[in-house]
Amino acid sequence: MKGTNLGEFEELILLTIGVLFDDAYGVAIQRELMSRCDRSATLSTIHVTLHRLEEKGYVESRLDGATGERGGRRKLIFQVTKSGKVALQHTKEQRNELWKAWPKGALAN
Amino acid sequence: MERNQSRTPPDWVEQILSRVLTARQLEVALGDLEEKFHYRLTHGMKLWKAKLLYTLESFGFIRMVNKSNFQYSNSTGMYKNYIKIAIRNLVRRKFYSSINILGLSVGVTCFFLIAMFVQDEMRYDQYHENKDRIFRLANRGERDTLGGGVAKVNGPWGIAAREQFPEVENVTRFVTYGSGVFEEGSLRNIEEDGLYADSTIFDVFSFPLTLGDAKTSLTQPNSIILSEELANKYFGPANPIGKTIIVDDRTLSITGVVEVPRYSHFTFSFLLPLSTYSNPMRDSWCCWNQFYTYLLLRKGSNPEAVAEKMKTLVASHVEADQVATFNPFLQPLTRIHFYSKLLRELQPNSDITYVYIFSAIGILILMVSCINYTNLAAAQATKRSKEVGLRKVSGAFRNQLASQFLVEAIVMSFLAGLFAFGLLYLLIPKFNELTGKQLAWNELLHPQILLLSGLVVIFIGLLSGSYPALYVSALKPVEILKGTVKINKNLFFRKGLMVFQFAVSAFLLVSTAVMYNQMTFVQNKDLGYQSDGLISFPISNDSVRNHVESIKTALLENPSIESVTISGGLPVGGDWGIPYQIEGREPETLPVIRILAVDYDFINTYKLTIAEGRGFSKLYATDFEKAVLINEEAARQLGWSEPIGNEISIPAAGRTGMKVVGVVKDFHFRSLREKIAPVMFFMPPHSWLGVFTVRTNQNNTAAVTKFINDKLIQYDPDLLISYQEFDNLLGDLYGEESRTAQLISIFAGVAIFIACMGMLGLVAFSVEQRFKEIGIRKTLGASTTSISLLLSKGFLALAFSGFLLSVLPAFYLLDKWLDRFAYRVHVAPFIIIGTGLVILALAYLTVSAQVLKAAMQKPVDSLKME
Repeated sequence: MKGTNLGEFEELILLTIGVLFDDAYGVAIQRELMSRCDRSATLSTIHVTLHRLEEKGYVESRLDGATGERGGRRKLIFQVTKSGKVALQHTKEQRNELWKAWPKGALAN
Repeated sequence: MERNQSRTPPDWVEQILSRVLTARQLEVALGDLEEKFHYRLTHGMKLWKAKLLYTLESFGFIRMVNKSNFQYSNSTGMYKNYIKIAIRNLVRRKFYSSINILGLSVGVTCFFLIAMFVQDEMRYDQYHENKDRIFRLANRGERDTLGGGVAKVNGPWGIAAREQFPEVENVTRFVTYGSGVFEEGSLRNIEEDGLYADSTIFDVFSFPLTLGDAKTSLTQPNSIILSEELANKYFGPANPIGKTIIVDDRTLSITGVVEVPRYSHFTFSFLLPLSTYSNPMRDSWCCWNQFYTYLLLRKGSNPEAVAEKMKTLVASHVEADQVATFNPFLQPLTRIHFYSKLLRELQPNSDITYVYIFSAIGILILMVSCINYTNLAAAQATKRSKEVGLRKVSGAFRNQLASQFLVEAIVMSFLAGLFAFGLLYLLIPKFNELTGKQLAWNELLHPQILLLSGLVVIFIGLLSGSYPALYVSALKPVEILKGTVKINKNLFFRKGLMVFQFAVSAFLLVSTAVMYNQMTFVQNKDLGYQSDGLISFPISNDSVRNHVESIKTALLENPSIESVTISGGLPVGGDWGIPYQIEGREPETLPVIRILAVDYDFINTYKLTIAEGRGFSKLYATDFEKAVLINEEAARQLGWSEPIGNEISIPAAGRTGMKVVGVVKDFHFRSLREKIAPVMFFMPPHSWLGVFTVRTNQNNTAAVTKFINDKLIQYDPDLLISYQEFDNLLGDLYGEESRTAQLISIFAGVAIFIACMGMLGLVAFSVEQRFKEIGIRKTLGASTTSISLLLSKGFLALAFSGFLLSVLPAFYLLDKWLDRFAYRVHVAPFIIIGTGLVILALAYLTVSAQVLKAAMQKPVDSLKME
């Protein structure tokens, strides 16, 4: 299907949001991405990507949880939507198909 | 550690981001940033570092400036709407629109004029194919204090360079031919600016030869190459190649027609083969530096190395005691026009300083007019706050509003541009007159230029419009509709802009005043001799030269003619540099003394003053070969407290053992830019003399010149010379400065005009805003005068502060400009004060009309409007 192609970074973010379950917001995503994938991304990059994903309908957001460390400001918490999960699934399947299509000998190296 | 809670991240970041992000995005982003900030602090990072990282990370969010809405705005549709509204607004507020457009277009016009000027200057000498490899060979005398060197060198130098230095691929030389009498058919005229040229001229330079063969056109001795202009003049559109023309009584065959671009550091009207230059001194290595020599170096050659080799080569061909006076150096062709100010340039060069000055002025004026727009638009925008509020409330987003105002600015800028093009068409001819250039309006019509102008217009629109756009779109709808819009929020910034405008205007005004002051000073300064009433004309042929005494007598018979003298050059830079000797002193220790070759009557004709001793006198026949005069400066530099009787020799002129018979009081024989140099007078063989000067007591020079002409014709039946009034020659010395002064005065006028117009708009606006206030004050008994004062004092104060700001920079920069003159005025306080007063007066005039009208209104009217 056209339009469900996820960028590599977008895919990572989506997956990370899933990992964090209900605590996926800017700083947390950044931290998780760093510890799991050794991937350093600036806050703004992450926010931009989140925005894009939301536009595509793959995530939804809600405001929640103001804390003192945030100067009394609320966090924007993200969750993967149904269509987001579908897109992830689609991507995963695509990769698998391609891997399966490798000739036997090549994988042995 | 509870200390964390009192440490906060910098809050100006919020200010910036608030302009870019929506409220929600802002809250979230700042929250995240702050969370990280505190996290870092708790984990031991230093405060300054945490703050730094916070700031750096925040910048990334500026990317999100467009992400404020999910709707993909219908761009083309919206912009069409914006343009429609922009035009509607323009028409609705004709007063403001016209002020704005006028101001912008004047600024753009000035900018374009200057841009064309600068572009023209930058073009000089750029059309030569080999331009990067062409170098002029010049000479710097060891103790030469005047000009830094001479542009001409001796004949054999260039030729030897090509023969002996592998770096030199080719060489071409020129010697001035001067003017010649051209005869063809029924036409007979003096044509000027002729040059002798080597046949290699077209191998080195790329002068476009429209007709004729570059290789052979100057190889035959009887050839001549004409400029297109001359060819047209004498032969019309027909091909003149192969035809003959008579020049100075010689029949020459035309072998080429050349088109000389005027943006060259030297131009010429006709070329003759250098091989026909027959002066007996032409092969001298030391003593006949009349050759302009241009070397074409091979790629990768080092010009300094060539200069070194040249020095050694010259040293091996001249007398030991002359070696020190020859220091050849190479000038890159492309630098000559801007930087070279040697003696005896083929044509006066420009100065890169003026290019810088005018570029700066162009930019300043453009800024002034952009500021105008900004201020007026911002003021107007406040008036349109209701419209803005409505738009916001009905769902417009910040950037859409900003875009709308930007489009308005661009539309106005575009209209201003069109108007400017019209203005340019009218003004370019006048500008050409002032600058001596030949800029053409239709050069503007090239697609590249139009494209560039379009971009400039858009840029100006964006620049001027950005402030009002941002300002207006930041207004909160709630406040607008409630009517509590804070008008005065950013007034400081706007006031600052106005002050800047007036500072620029004041600066230009002061500059104008000072420059004119200097010019007047220069023109009226006592030169040490009497310069008015003098007419000069050249010796036109040998017959005249051989009969100068009889001619003199004949001329003196006319009661209008008081005295006649013949000299080698005129005291406006016509002095020579010839080596001289004093017995018992080493040549290297002798100061450079300029030489004026004269006759017995020179001192009297020019009415110079003798300080000691006597002038040349016919009573002493030996004066002719044995007398010399020096000026006071020469006596000083030679260290002679008793100069009379000392000996000087000028071997090159065949004069040895001349004795000083008198000392002339110092006088200016060169421009006032130079300090009076030492000079000596002697009487050379008649063949060295070249120009007559006649003192007449008549104002009607036409009658006098006719008389002179009649007398000369007896000796030169083909006489065709031009007579110069000496005062005009003096004026020409300062051509560049006086032109600059004129130009700056015009730009000063423009800047003030724009600034005042801006002020006019703002005053009108302010008056409108305070309509009610004025009404109330009047009912409470305020007089017209007090209200006028109240309204105007703010603006007057702005103008005055602008003026004050400009004083120091003006002082400093003008002082530097004045330093180009050895004899100069000071930046007089009265000029500064005068300018201040002028600025105040102008500001007041601008303001008064509106203010008076407002102050005189009936309170009833304003209070009625409820």
